[in-house]
This record gives sequence, structure tokens and C-alpha cells, in this order.
Amino acid sequence: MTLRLVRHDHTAATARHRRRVRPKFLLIGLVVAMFCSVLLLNGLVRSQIGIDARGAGQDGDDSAVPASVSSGGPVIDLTHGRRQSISLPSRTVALTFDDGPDPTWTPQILAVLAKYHVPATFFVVGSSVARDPDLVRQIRAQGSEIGIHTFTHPDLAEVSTDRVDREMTETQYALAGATGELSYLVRPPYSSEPDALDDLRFDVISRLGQQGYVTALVDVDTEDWQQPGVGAIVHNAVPEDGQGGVVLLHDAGGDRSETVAALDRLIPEMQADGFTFTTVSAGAGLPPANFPAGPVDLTLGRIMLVAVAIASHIVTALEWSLLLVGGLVVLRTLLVMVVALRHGRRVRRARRLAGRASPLRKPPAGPVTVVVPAYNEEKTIEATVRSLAASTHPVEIIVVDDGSTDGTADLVEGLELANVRVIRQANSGKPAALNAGIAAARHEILVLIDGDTVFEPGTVAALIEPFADPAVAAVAGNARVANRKGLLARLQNIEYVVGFNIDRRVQDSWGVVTTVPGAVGAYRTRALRAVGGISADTLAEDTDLAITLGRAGWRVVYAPTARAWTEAPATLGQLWRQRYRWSYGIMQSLWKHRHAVVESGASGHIGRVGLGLTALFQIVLPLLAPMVDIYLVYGLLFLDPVVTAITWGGVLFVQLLLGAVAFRLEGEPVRSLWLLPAQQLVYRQLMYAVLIQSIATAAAGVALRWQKIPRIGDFSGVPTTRTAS
Amino acid sequence: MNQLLATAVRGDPADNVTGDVADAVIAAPVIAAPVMPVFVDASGRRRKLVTGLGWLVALACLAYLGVIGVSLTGTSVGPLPDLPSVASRTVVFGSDTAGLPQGALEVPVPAQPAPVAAAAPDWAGAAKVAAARSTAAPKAAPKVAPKIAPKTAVTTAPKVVASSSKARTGAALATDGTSSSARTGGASR
Repeated sequence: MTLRLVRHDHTAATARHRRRVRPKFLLIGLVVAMFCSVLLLNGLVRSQIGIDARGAGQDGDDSAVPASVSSGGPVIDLTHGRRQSISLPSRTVALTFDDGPDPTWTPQILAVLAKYHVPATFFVVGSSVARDPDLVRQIRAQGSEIGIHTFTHPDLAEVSTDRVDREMTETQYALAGATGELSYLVRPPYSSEPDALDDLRFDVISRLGQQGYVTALVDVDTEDWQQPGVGAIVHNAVPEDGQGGVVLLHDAGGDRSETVAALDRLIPEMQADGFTFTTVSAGAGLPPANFPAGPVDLTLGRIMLVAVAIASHIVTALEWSLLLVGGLVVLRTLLVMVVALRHGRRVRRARRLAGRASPLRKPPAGPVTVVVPAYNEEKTIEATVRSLAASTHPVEIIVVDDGSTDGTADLVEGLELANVRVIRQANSGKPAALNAGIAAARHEILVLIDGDTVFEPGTVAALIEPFADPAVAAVAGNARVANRKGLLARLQNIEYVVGFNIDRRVQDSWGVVTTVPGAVGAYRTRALRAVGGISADTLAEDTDLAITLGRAGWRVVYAPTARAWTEAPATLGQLWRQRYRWSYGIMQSLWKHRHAVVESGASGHIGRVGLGLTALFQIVLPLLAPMVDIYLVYGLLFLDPVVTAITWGGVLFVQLLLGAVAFRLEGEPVRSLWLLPAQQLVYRQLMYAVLIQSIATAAAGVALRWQKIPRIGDFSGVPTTRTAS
Repeated sequence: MNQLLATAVRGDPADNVTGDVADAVIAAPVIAAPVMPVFVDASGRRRKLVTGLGWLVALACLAYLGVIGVSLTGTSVGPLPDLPSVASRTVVFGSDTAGLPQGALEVPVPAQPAPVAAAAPDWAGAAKVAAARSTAAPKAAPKVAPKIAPKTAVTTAPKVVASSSKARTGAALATDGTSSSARTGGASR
């Protein structure tokens, strides 16, 4: 769009630049690291855990498992070098619930247990405890006891001993944080009856035994996880021949309504049949499974729960903002589809009518003044000036040299074109250069153009056409990317076509154009002078000016056929600085004109609709865009990767569709759109990083210097045969 | 990030990455205009505030990382209770036993198969069973007489199989009788 002129005290700046410690990067690094761990922690706590498929992977060698264990009772005490297998007394049943706690099913199960005054044993998954600590408090309050079912439900025989220790310890911490208690009772995930133990799994429980854990396996499996029907669960739950037993049920890992219903039947039926319900520890004659945690474990446990709660809140906030992003994207898509397409039709119709030349609406016939501010534009200025001189409409060209050091002015004078004037001034910035040009302008209409832009022969004519309406003070042209070599330039081309130009069509349809690109715009000289020329208090003087004119009651319109070709930054660094200035400048302009939002009339319309659209789609939406990336990674790792990939692909498809519409409107070959997926990877991230930095700069009240982007004069993408007709 | 990008273009003396909070001081007003640019705070107070906030956020993040590190890397938890050998302590189980017949049962044990205590299969109960080692509770009634007509003889005490060798103890199995094999299908092993 525009470029800024600056005099740098470069050497000194760079020297200090290098010496300075950059605390900013410390902050960025820490914030990123924290976000990663928040997502990791939350993913760990919320990821889908497997349910106990019976006998999963337990077909290994079992020659080392002592017969007394494999054929013994379900409670295996291997502490203190002991080896005791304990069965429950006859007609004594310990109901055990694995994989919970679950916010839906655990309370329902507790309600049934409470109804019959029956205790049970819950083998909890630590991550679920950390997520819903209140559930284990309810379990304890109901009189049931808690055993450990690891933190993330892995098959303990398949993971390292270190991981086993962490799984146990983290669960203990979660338990301590939630209830102030620990547990010595453990049930390894995917375990079932003692006779299903293989050597690997016996090793695991032996090691746990050495640490003081008593393993509670199962001798009555209801198979409720398969949802075999309420009747089947009730039938399965009754030990044979009036014996006692540890009964396996589940309170999480799927729809447990059958389990709840079966519980409500089997307890009274078995009680009537003489069965007694107890906890595993009491049934096995052991002391209560839960005992007070020491101060260290208690503290660590509470800290852990706070950390998980914070992560949970942050992720919830992320999810809401993701929802907001989704809403905005849909809104934008609808806007573009409806408004921009209608705008396209209107423009075509207007051009057909213009061919018949209504006498009431005649565009200005006299010559117009073109002002080209230039600071070190040696490489591009010749192409710019020559393209202007070749305009079909008569022009007076004023090149304002803003203290260039590379002979820009001499070069222009050397061209010896009749209608070109050069004004030299000491370096004083682009607004001053423009104002000098405006002051020297002799004609009623002014065209402002950057020194790195080339016009088509018909651009000026197309640009001034809307001035037939005396209420029009400014016309925005259609800035396009001239250089098409290299990925970055192509990506910018997509952004110009799909982003800027489409947005401008929407703004034009609603009469709220908030930016007349510095690369190509035309103004009514009178209006421009009336508002005091170009202001210098924002870095986006093009946006500021358009809003100022709109607030003053003038019309600002868009002429999509007035194409100008500008050289886009060719490196990421240049692009960064250009966008940094743009986004900072746009924020400055929005802030400067914020009062318009509550004003009436034209000013209020611009304020509410124009500034609103700009803020929403140029600040808020790009600022929230990181959510999409964060959630893509998060979803692939912790949620269903297929669903995540499909969702992401769907969003991409909608964008492609949008892109196709935009490219057709602009008459660009739609095949260039194949790069759109690549835009998602580096480009978009750069855009929001820039925005965040702009916001930080704005908040800190730091002066952002004007910056000059070096040009090489690549106008390879300009269609030489194309005219504006 | 910014630095990388900056390095990429450092070759050009006309360029300079600017606008960082940290760079603010260098950014002397180069805009040749008498107007104060929007957002710019000449006093520098806001810059100090934002920098301070930045440090606070950094510290909070650091603290959070530390917390997560500590709570997710712990591999041991305070001492678990010293469990006495099962047979050597009093066992009280069943908490839905209010009003049910009570009984105490002496279970001598360890290192050998638990004797099967015959008791009533009572559907009223045998529910609350206290098992105490004879030495600890010599006065405890050794057996519970069925309060309700017994139908079959079944164990009412926790059955303990303890062994110190890997060899199958036929005695344990035999003594345990009805316990594990039939119930769990363990006999198939």
C-alpha cells in the first residue's frame, strides 16, 4: 500500500540492538512454554482413556507366577516380602468400580449405594480425580473407599518402571489434593482375575508390593463394560455357590446406565439372598485403604489440583475463543458471499451504463494531479512515472523527493517527461512529502500513489470515474501484487485478492470504506485541503484519511477496476515490518476515531459499521486465529485426530471456496489458489505475531519508527497487455 | 522470532527492526510533525507499566511451569502404612451390618493355608465378622454359631493363601477347597 520514509540513525541503533538483553524473548518463551504445558496437562487429564478390555495383552508367559497367586484370592498382599492371596468370606461381596470418577455416572452409582447403605471400592484414574476432585470427596463421604487405578490408565506391563512410579505417585497426589488421603490399594489397568496374571504383570504387582501396595484383582467379572444388558450384569455379579467375591463394575468409560440400573437390582436381591456388601480392604481383613497423607504429599497434591484447574480454565477460555473464531469466520464468509458478489454485479452493471454516458453523471474531464512521494525509490521510480505518463487520462505528475540519498530525483528529471515535476525537500516523512505535493497540485482531482507502484494506462480514468458524484471525496483503487516470483509474493497476492479487495467490496457496499490504499487512491483536492491534508499522527495515514473524510460526511468509494501494481515485500523480515506498521497504524486510526462510534449521522455510520468491521476482521479475528493452530495440534494429540483433521480440512475448504469467489471477481486465474494451504502454515502465524507485537507496542506507548522497505523493481506480474477498459 | 527475521534483512542498512518495547528508547521521534502520534506516551510511564506486567506474567508462567514440573515428575509418595500380616489382626468388615447378627471368629494363620471356618451361610449374615488372632484376642469366641439355620458350610473369614515358595501348595488348594479354582476358573491354568 504505502511506504514510509525515514532517516535512520542506523549504526547507533544496531549497536545498541545487539548489546541489549531482550527480555521480550524471555517472556515469549515462558508464555509459549506455559501454554504448551497447560495444553499438555489438560490433554493428559482430559484425553480419552481406554476401558478395561478383559485380558488385554495378558497372554504372555506365566511360568513365573506362583500357583498360590494365580489360583488364590483376588486381593494379593506382596508387601514386606509376603505373598498372601486373600479371598473374601462367603456371601461377602466387595463391589468395585474401575476407571472413574466420572461426573455423569459416579454420582448416580453413589446414589444407589447410599440408597441401600452399601459401601464399595472405587479404583480411580488419577487424571479424572484431578479433573473432578469433588467426585472422590463424594465417594469418601458416602463411606466407600478409594483404590488407585493409575493416572492415565496405561497397561503397566508395557511401560517403564519409572512411568509406573509416576503413574502411582501422581494419582496419590491427586487423591491427597482432593481428599487429604492416600491409598495403599491398587488395581492395575487391564487386569482381571488372578489366574490371568502373566509374568510381566506379576512383576509389576510384585514391585508395587515392595513399595507397600496391595493389589486388588477381581474374582467376579460382571462384564458390564460390554453393556450386556441389566439382567446379565445382575446375573454375572452373583458369586457362585454362595461364596464371597470382589465384583468388577465400571463407573466410567462409556454409557454406564446399565451398570447403574443393575446395581439398583442386584444390591437388594443379593441382600435378600444373604449377601453382605463391604469394601475390599474390610472384606480382606486389611486396615482401611485410605489413610491421611503427610504434609508434603498433601501440599504437592493441592498444588497439582490448582495447576490442573488453571489449565482447565485456560483451555475452556481457548475453546470459547475458538468458538468465537468459528462464528467470525462464518460471518465473514456469509458477508463476502452475499455482499461482495452483489457488489461485483453492481460494478459490472455500472460499467455498462457508464458506456452510455449519462450527462448528469459525468466524470471530471480535465487533467488530474498525480503526487508520487519518493524516498530512495531509484529502482522503481522510473517504471512508476512512465506508467503514469502513459495514462489514457491527462495527468500532471508531481514527484516529491523526500531527501533521497540515491539519486531518485535526478533519475526522474533525467527522464525528461513533459508533464512531470520534481519537488525536492529535506527528509521529513511521507505525510510531509504528500502535503507538499498536495500544496503544489493545480487540479481539482488528486491521485496519490506510492513510488513502488505502476499503473495501467486506464487506471487513472477508472479511478476518477466515481467523482461524477459530487459527494465523493475519495476513491480507493485496487492494489495488486506486481511481483509473482517466490512463495511469499504469491501468498501476498492471495491475501490482497482474498483479503483486502474483498473486504473493501463489503465496505463499499455499506458505504463505509475505511482505507484508501496509499498505493492507489484519488481525492477531491478541495476535500483533502478542507480536512487539513495528510495527518502525521498515525502510521496508516491512508486509513486515517479515509475515516476522516467519511466522518466529515463525504463519500469514500471503491473502484475495483482501477488496478495498480505494487511490489510486495520479498522477505519475511520486510513483510514483518510492513505489516507491523500496517496493523499498528490501523489500531492508531481506530483509536483516534473511536469517538465516531457514539456519534450520529455519517460519522456514526462510519464509526459503528466501518470501524466495527475493521476492528472485527482486521484485529479481533487475526488475533484469535492462533486458536485454530493451537487446537489443531491439541486435537491431533489429545482428541480424535481424524475428527480434528476433518474439521480443519473443512475450514480450509470453506476458505478455498471463498478464495475461488474472490479470484473470479478479480479476474485472477483460480489455479493460483493451490497455495492457500501453505498460507496456513507460516504466513498466518506471522500475521498474528505481528498483531500481538503491535498491541504490545501500542499498550506501552512506544513510538514506532517509520520504515522503508527496500525494493528491487520487480514488476514481473503486471499484465502489460491489460487495460482498464 | 523477530530477531531471526531481523537477521535475515540485516544486510540492508536502510532497514531496522523497530517498535519493540525494548527498542523504544532508541526510537527517538523521527516523525517530522508537531502532532503527538496516537498511542505514544512521552512520559514512558506506560512503557514501565507494560514492562512490569510482562515480568509479572513471565514470573507467573515460570511458577506454573515449576508447579507442573514438580507435580508431574514425582515418583514416590510418603510412606505407605506398614500392613500387618493379614491373619494377625482384627478384621471388621461390612458396614451395612447394623442390626445383623454379630460374630467373632478366630483365624489362626500365616505361612500355611487358612483353616476354613465353618459358619452359617445365613443370609442374615455372618456379616460382621471379627477375626482376631488368638494371641491378641484370646477371649474371642472361636466360632460363630449360626444364628439362622445353616444350609451349607462356607467360609466366613477372609481366606488367606500364603506361601513362600513358587511351587503349588496342594494343601493350600485343598484346604481352600471351594475358594478360588471353581470361582475364578483358575483351575484351567
